[in-house]
Amino acid sequence: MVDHLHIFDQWVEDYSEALMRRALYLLSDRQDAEDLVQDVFIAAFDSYPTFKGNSTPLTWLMHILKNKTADFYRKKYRNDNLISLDYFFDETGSWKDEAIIQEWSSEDQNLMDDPEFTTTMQHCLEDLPPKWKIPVKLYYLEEKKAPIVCQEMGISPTNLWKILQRSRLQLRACLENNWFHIQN
Amino acid sequence: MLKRMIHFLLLPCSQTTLLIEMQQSGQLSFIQKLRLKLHLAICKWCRAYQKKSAYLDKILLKNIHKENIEIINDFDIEQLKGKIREKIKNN
Repeated sequence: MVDHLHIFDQWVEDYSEALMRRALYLLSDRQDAEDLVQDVFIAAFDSYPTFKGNSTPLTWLMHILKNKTADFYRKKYRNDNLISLDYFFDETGSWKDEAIIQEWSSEDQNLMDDPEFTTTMQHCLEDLPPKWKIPVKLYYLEEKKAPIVCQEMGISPTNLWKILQRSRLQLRACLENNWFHIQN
Repeated sequence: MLKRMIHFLLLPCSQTTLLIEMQQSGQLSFIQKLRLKLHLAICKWCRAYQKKSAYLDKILLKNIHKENIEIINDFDIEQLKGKIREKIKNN
């Protein structure tokens, strides 16, 4: 037990920052993130005997963090399934937004490496409601493995597609307003 | 008018954008692929969107690991470590 405590002391020292960074990234709220990281360590401490050392401690802790994020998400958004597309499509399902047809001026590699563009993109991503932002981030963190994200988050594939669809429509509009300056 | 006809005959743009998501993730069935292809063949709006969508997909995949480094700078990580140690001891 003393040994166990000693190991954890070192883990807290070594991994708190990486975990906090990931938690902040996923939850976008300092207090929620801080609570989450504490929960991760408590859970890890309790289930330490099941840690077999097949993965690195950080990988294991990150895995617990993902589970905790999913719990957090489920608790918070359980009764909130409505995703409306009214802002982008009319009642027949046609585009309302004529700006869609206008091309983006510079879709090249340079733009992708432009730090200013990356910042604008991050802001647009952060502006999404947490209900969508968390699955979107996890989807890309998991390198677009949809079934894994669905399983982790406890959401249906249909729901994931709808969240991605709605988020992307909004990201597109946000970038057109703030970067490409396309007028409607 | 043309937009309305596309809908009527095929698939609304609101549904097509959902199929575009699934396509980007490689999750379309044969029938869905066909419906998407047909819709895109006659709908310039969705074609334009698909292009933008693919671009966003590429950027997000590339940049996702650039988690905001700066957000943690003004955060007292030592204080958090203290809190965690406290909790573990009292657990």
